[in-house]
Amino acid sequence: MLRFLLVRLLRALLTVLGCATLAFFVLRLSGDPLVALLPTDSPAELLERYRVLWGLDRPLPEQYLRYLLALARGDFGRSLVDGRDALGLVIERAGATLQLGGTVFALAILIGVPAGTVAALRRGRPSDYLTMSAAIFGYAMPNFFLGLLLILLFAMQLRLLPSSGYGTPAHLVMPAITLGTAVAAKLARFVRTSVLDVLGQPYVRTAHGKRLGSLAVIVRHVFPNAAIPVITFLGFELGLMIGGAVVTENVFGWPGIGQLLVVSVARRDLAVVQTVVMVIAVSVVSANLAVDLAYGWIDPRVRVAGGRHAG
Amino acid sequence: MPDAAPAAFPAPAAPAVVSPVLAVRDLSVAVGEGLAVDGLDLSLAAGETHCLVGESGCGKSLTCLALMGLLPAGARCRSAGLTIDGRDWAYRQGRPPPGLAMIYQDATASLDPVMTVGRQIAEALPPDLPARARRREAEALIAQVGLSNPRARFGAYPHELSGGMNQRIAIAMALAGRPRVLLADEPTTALDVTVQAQILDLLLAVQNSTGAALLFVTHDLGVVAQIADRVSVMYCGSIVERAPVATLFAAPRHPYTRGLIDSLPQISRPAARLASIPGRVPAIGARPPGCRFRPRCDRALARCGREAPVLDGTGPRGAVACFNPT
Repeated sequence: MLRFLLVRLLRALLTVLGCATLAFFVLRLSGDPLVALLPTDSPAELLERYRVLWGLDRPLPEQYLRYLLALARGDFGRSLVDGRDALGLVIERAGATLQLGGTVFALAILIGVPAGTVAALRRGRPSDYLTMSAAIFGYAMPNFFLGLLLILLFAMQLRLLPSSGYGTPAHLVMPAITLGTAVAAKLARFVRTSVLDVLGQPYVRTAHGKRLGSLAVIVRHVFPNAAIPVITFLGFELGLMIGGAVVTENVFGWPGIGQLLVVSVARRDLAVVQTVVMVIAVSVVSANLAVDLAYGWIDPRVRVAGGRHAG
Repeated sequence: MPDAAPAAFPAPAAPAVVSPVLAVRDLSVAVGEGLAVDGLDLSLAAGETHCLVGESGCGKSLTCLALMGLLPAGARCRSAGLTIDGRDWAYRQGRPPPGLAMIYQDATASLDPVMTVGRQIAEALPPDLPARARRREAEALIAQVGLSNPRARFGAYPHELSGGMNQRIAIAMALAGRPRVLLADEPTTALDVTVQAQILDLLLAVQNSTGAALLFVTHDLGVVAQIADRVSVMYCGSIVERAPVATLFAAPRHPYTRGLIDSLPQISRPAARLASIPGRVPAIGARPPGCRFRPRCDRALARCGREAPVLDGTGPRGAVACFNPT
């Protein structure tokens, strides 16, 4: 088990490093950051001074090596805009993203799991069609469009909710709905398929044969088995969501890392963009790692396979 | 069921069961257009081992599932009444009758892969039992079905056990509900021959100790000869012959039963080739009018094409549904 974990961690580290490398080179090859940062009419000697100051005059491989060495020391570089520590800046924003992401996830699970389960249990009946139609609608609706509609209705017409900003629960409502709809819809469809599959298994018939009552059969036998593929899905979704928050955070002026990423890319704020990319990579990789560990916890058959790794 | 007065139905097939622990009258199961089980009467005495024999697709398994109320989606069933231990049971699919427990063909698939076998046994125990007693009872059941170290087995998962061990667990699970009737649907088909014999012995032993009736579904006449008290032979959804096991093997009356027995290899009868019944079981939608066995029968009369024989006859030689029995 320990060796299994070590191998997974090493692979995760390589993935993160790969993302950082990609971000590093793409940023430097896609334009001169100084042009974006300094006023357009800046004299050439000023440009040159900053270029030397930030080390951008060195050959790319040397810049890359310096970057890696700094990373190894835990130094993520400084913002070219205000000189602040890039990691601190990102962490400061991460709280807002986590708050939104956590709410969205909770919302998606609270809606998606019961909806998908009901649809599966009532297969082919009106409640199934209704739930699945709603799910397809929620899935097909682009989230920036849904966000704008919500702003129009709740902020402009009804004046119930603030159109943008951060701080109170009221601010959270619309971004959470915007992001959560699609995730809940996808989850509902996934849960339905998964539950239907399990409902057809012989062991569910056995459980009914024990006169347990439908609720006990669903809670004790159907859910634990149906959860195995759903966990995989949730792991992917968790990773995607952090990237997906970029658009929603901008629509609602939510000060998370999605917004920070867009602003920093526009300004060519190299260190900050690199750090955001790394943070996103780390969260995707850890979501996947968490899924692998959850498997072993839910499915005893995987636990045995993990044990063999260790042996 | 007020409209199901016993007098309206033919007398139960011989030999009469005095006070049956399970009696079902006129059970039919419809799958799609046709009847997979067609007007089946069955009664079991306490402690009796009753074998239900027939080729695949003749409705044996569906009979068991219908009795348990566990028919697959798309199958519909009706009956003129189900009596368990003398009490009428208001019959509904999805609600297994009390006193009935089933043992399934593929034990490993019929156990939940992510729950320990001990907990699966424990949850089949009567619901009023306190938690600590449940664990003790479950371990006692594991020991009763012949598995060593029940305390450790309690925490095992189905994939950690062999097929034979899982079938033992399934038997323990069936016993946990303290059944009056055990339905066993080909419980040894998926197992090795040596394990088959062990499971058969175990089934008979637990039947002896609990006094439950055992309805044993099989297509293996060798097993029937070994364990049965009475035998019902099924063909195309109906019972064509029912007799005590010795009578059935000594003097089969229905041509189909005779064909089945003749197709068994026998030491006393040297033969280069085993006898076989010509033709094959017709599909549900393609059953012939009259007697369903007529196209494959060497004793068919003109009448057999017009009328369907019903299971008839009381007396020691058993009942047969045939116009020209031997």
